[in-house]
Amino acid sequence: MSDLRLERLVKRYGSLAAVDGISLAVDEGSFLSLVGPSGCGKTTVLRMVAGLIEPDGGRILVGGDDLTDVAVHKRNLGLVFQSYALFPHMTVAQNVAFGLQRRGVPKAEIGQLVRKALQMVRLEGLAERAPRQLSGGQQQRTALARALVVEPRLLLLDEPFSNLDALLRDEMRIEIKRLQQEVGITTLFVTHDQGEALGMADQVAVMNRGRLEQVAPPRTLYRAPTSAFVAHFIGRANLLRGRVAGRDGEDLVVALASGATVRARGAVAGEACQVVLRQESVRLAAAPDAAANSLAATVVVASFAGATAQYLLRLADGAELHAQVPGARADLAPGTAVFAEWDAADTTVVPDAA
Amino acid sequence: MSTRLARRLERNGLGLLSPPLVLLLLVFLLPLLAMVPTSLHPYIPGKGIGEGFTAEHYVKALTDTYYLEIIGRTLALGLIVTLICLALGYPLAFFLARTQSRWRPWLMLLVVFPLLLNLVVRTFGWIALLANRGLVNDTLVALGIVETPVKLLFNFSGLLIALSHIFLPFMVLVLVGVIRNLPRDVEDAARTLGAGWATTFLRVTLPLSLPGILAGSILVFVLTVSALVTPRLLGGPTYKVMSTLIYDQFLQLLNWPAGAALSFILTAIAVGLISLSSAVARRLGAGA
Amino acid sequence: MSARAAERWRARGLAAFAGLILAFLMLPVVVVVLASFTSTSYLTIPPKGLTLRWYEAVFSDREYIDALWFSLLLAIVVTAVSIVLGTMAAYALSRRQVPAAPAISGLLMSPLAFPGVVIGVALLQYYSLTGLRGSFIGLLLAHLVITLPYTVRTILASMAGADPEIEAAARVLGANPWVAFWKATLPVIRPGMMAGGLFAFITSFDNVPVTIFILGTRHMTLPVKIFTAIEYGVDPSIAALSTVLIAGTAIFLVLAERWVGFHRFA
Repeated sequence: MSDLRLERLVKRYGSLAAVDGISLAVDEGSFLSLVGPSGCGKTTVLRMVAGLIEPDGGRILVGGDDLTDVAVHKRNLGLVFQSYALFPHMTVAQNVAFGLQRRGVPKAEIGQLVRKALQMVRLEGLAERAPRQLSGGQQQRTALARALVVEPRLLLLDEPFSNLDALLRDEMRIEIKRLQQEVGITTLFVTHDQGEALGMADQVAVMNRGRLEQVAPPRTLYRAPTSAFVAHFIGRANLLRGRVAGRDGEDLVVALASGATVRARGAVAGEACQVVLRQESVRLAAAPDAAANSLAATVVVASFAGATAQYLLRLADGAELHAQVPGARADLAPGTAVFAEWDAADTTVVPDAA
Repeated sequence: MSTRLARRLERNGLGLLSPPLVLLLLVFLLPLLAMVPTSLHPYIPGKGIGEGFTAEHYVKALTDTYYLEIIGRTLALGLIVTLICLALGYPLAFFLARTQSRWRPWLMLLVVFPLLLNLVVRTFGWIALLANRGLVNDTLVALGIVETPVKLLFNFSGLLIALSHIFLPFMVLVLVGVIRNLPRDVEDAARTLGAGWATTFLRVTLPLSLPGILAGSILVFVLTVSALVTPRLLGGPTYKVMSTLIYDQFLQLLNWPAGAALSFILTAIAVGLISLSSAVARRLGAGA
Repeated sequence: MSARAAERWRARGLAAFAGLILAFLMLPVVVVVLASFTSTSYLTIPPKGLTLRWYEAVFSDREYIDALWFSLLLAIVVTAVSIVLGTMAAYALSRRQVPAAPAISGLLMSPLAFPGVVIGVALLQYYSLTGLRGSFIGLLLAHLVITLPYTVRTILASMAGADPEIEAAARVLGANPWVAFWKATLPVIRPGMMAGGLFAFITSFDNVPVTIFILGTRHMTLPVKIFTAIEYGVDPSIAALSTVLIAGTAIFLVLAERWVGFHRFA
């Protein structure tokens, strides 16, 4: 078990920098999600850590050892592939035994370790099955057992849920988290799904166009994004563009394009800013409230989803605003005029990137 | 530096590719290129290859009536064999592609078997069949259809029959592959729209199998005009096609320059047709 | 006649026609087998009398036996090397970013497009210049050129059907590149290698148009030997020899079908 440190890691394809100087630390025993839209370079980072892609610059340190120039097969890492990459011509047990055989573990011991590993992922009865006879979830468990049985220094997970249906995905998410805590292994988890990223990690690193946007614990990331990109990518926050007009006690006074002013929390350098407003922080009211931020709006689309309801509103200046309210109280039809209101404490401001 | 070069060759695959590529370069491309100057040297009977350069062999091959007749005969053979293979092969391929019979794999092997059987043996079978006292003539005489045996060896009709037999499996295998991949629901759609089976076949099935027909036809045509063993054994030393002519120029007459020129003409026909057809196939594919 | 009855008759008609064509395909084979048992000294069908003396004649003829062994030896060596070279090429083309990949695979396939006789005469001149004519190595190289398209094509097809990540998985699990290929990729592409090898074997064992030009006087292959024998004149011993080859091919085909499902690759 070791910590992972990346120092100014770079990978170029022609003139394009797929990974553009990433520095990142994953503490020993902790779980870091690396999340970003497809093509942001996150998988390239993971494959460089595994040794499957050669970096053009920077260093990879595991437990203080520089692995940058160490061959793949000498790194002793565990990797669960997106496709699972189980050996189709071997049984489940043979798949799990593969890494142990490469390490010259005695035969008797291998059998025991394989049994234990399969027990750990609850596949005891399926040891002699071929991979194609397994369900998606069972294949993934096999891949996990195969990666963990060699007691790797790191566990790398490359979009491990993308081939599972929604129900199994939730189940495996909990399963992997449980295993990771049991084993206490340092884990780097790559995903494009912000829900998965937040749900499993101690730390979340958001990546965009080859660079890191923000690295923070899930709650901080959600409550206090430092960029418009993170605010939108994590939880699809509303972003209201405006200018800082003044300060009133704890609050910043922001003038929106429509001329209306709203209060928000946080600090930015310069005037241009965007107010980050979470959908679930928006309340809908029939009359304006002088105590809170309150903007006149019209319901455009109403979508009822049981516990919650989703509204798409149009503000006076034509900007759109998403609101998520408890489903029990949602009965507004499209065309209804409402007031959208929220507390300044539920907002944060970020620099206007555009 | 050398390790970096080695790494690069490993990454871009050229390290692995170099043995096969060197083989093709040294034992395929270079020999072919070395024949270009040969085809441009004069040939002096009794003395061999002369000095200087001349295009006379190409000119002669494309103007002399003796050569033109052989080239024409080769192309006619290719064309008619292709048509026969198409006419016989399409129904068989259609049957093999659509049959539900549990014998299907074995019927397919009956098509593959002649392909794997030594070409000389298959040709020998046709000699036994087509000879003056062969099975075909004996049957014809016995049935009273003809009085004296028909000449089927050392002429066009013998070559036509044997070559059609020999290249039919290629046509069938190509067509089976294409017909099996035709979307059946399109045919069903045509039937529900009121088309009879004939209309459905002519307007839907046949046009959809056109890429296969094209590919199979080009293959059979090229194989036929390139064939050496069968024309040589069934045509004898006198009834010639292009490849047996080349064979004689090199091994009997030792007129390498003329043989080389003829080789390039034959190659131009074969390779030209193949590249043309793949261009057409690409357009068909893009249009679909 | 009802539409359904018409449909049934069409299906029967098609099946009957297909049966006729299949019979036509097998006709020369049957004829050769029958002719090999005739007791006459000329070819005749149906055979007159019944004798095995033509088989005796063939099996006691040293030239035929030597040619058979030489053809088998050549084909086996060609097959083995062709599989190795074909695997190298197919692996590179499917698992590496090869510059100008379409041009390179086109080049690897091009011996298929060239008439055999042209390759033969080109090698005749080239081998005469380089002194390879009549040598085993010369034959081997020539046969590799004409078999490589088959091994590359079938192995490429089975590479395309395999997950490239399994080799990466083996590497991460501690296998060096060679072991990763041997343990993870090779077992998956084995059917393609077998099928390609079978094609290579047959192509080499049957070849006349290229071989006849570069054979020289030291060696003789079986098909060239039969070819030359027929040019001198046919007799039932050639039918007997042909029947032996027919039986061998049939056994080969059935075994190949059992091993790799041969008809899928044809």
